[in-house]
Amino acid sequence: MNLRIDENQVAFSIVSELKSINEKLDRIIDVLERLSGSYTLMERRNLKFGRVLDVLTLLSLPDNLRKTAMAMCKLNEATADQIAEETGRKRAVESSLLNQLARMGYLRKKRVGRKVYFYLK
Amino acid sequence: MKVKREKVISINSLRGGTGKSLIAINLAFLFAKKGLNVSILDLDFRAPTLYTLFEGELQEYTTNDFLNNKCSIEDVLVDVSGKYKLKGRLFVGLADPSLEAIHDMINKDSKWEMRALQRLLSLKSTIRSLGLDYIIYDTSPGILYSSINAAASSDIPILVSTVDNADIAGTRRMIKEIYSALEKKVFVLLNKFVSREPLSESGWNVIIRRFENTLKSRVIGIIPCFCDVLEVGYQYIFALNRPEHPFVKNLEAVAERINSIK
Ligand SMILES: Nc1ncnc2c1ncn2[C@@H]1O[C@H](COP(=O)(O)OP(=O)(O)OP(=O)(O)O)[C@@H](O)[C@H]1O
Ligand SMILES: [Mg+2]
Repeated sequence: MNLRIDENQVAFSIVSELKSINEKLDRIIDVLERLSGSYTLMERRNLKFGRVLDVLTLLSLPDNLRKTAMAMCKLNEATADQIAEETGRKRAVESSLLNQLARMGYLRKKRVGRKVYFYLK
Repeated sequence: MKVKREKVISINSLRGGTGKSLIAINLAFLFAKKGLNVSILDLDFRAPTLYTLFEGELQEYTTNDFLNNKCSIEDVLVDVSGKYKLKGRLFVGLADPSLEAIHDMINKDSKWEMRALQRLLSLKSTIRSLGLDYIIYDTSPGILYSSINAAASSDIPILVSTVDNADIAGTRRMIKEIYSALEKKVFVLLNKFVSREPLSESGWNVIIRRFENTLKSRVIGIIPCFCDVLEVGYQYIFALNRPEHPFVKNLEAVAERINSIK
């Protein structure tokens, strides 16, 4: 019998597997950060009190962070995937920049189901 | 039906009195005369200007209320196209000129300003639902939250400058420190140009190239200084009452260049 593999279906399942791996990684990173106490005092203070992403603050950020921050201003609340779509950069890149902005206190993070959302506070 | 332009134009300058408001108003009328649908918003909360022209049109809601999240943009806009017999529609949104409102806006904190930027960014979807070709922002001079928010939320950022040394140097810094950082391709409009002798077409082009080199940006037009423009000020609208005046002819060329921006 000639077994034909549907390439589309294979690609589709690989993508969805990768998505779920990404989501799991997000959670692992989150837990590790909490456990390892890797936040500096400054970062902990930022997280607690938060900082505001107004336009003049945006201008003071390094270029790569600014682009992500601007996209957050547009969307207000978003996943790394949605930001990647807005900026045209890779999801992994955006995920790391979003986490950096969250550490700096500009964004908050929450989990809804399996997804991690970032939002302006 | 013609495809709508759906673009937001911000008119900024570093120094005051470069001609932003006069240019914003006349551009809006020129577009509407041509049959485009336009809205002009006064975002100069320190020194609101548009209400002097549209005094009878003062609405219950102002652009202040829109940014304060007290109303929608539709509540602010007044349609003045009937009054001026314009082919397209022209909506104006006035800022609150009361001392109390100016005081209130000066005291806003950075968090409010962040929300204000988001409100302005949201106009991108309103522009479509209202069937507009352009929204034009008139702003306060200098680096103020309200003005930079306007620039940051625009598709076609225009910087109006005179050719005075201090003005050009400041405009250049503003382009580098603000517009480049925001990844905005800015268009410079030189106004109040004084020349000793009448210039030929190629003479103008030489001057434009020179400023484009200095500013590393596109110069979208040069408008000479006219004593009668200064004299008339805001008593009437040049684009309507003096359509043959060279001030209007120059602005028409600018409007056409704006129309051809992708
Ligand atoms: N090309 C010109 N020739 C002569 N006068 C002009 C010209 N352009 C503008 N003006 C005059 O210059 C003055 C200032 O113009 P306008 O109010 O438009 O400036 P502005 O940039 O909006 O000022 P502000 O920074 O205070 O908001 C007005 O009296 C206006 O009529
Ligand atoms: Mg003005």
